[in-house]
Amino acid sequence: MASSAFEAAQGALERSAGMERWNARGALQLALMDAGLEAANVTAAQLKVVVDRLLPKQLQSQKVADIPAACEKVRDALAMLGDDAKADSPDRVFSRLAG
Amino acid sequence: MASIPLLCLLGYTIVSAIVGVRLILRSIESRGLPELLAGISYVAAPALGYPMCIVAPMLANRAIAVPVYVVGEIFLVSGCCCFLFFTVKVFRPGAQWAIWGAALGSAVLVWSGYGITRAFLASTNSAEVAAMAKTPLAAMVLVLMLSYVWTALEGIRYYRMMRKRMALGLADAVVTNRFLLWSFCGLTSLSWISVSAFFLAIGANIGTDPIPVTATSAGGIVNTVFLVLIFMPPAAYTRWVERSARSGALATV
Repeated sequence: MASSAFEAAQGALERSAGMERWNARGALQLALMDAGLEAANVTAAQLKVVVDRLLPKQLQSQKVADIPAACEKVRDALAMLGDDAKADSPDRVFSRLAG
Repeated sequence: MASIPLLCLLGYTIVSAIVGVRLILRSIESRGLPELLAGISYVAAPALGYPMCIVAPMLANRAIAVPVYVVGEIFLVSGCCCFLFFTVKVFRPGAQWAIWGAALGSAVLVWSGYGITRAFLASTNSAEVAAMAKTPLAAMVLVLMLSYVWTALEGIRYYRMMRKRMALGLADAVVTNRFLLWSFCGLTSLSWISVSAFFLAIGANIGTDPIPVTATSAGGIVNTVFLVLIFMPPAAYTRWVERSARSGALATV
């Protein structure tokens, strides 16, 4: 199951870039893979960095026409989310172990 | 004078107890299940269960040896089960295969613990006990080997992911390094238990044969170092990791 941030980004990408659901999901998944993140527990803050740094490359390969506008819409969707770092992830657990 | 292997195991026992108690106390503050599972795991298995099972057969008074062994085996099995579920909870929380795998592993561990304890209760002759406990002990060793392979794989997988995050400024160098140490911990345990498994397979007594005893104690001392670096890292080590990450050296570790 994907995090709420991932679902929001995917929805925004589908609407703004006119992508099919699975294409949008695939582009985000590949960008997350390059960032070492997982859809299940990625936060809005982490996704914003991915959108800035890695998503444009994936959208380019999907032949999206207006990449900056699509990324902007995804950023807007993420900005509307609150702090979604409620679910535990391995890095959060490991940062607590010696804290 | 105490032998070097015994001192190594004593060191591992003491450090495991300290780490385990700290994690249990932390779980009370954070209400975190992973900390609780890891804490119980370290207190129950290496700090209490394992030493009790080693000491019990050396006790001359059977009235003391039997309860020490039974309680030790219960601690040992409980700790190993908690360790399996720690891996599930942290690395594969929603995966059915992982939950069922840990449940199956725990069932085998409980069955093994019962079988080994029954052998200890049935005879006072160590050769007879070893012969009767051979099958359940082999099953326990197999489950432990698999659990350490799993630990090492999850640790290295997450370490690689964290390195990618570090390049984007999304991860802390010390936490990233902790995953590498965690996988080293798994590999060390796997190494020593593999030696024991081999000697068990060729019919040797893994409690008295010098090679498995040395492998176990060496593994114990190496794991002691890893436990300290993971759970109670000295400031100098933390600074070194951060410095290495800044200079890009961590990427080559």
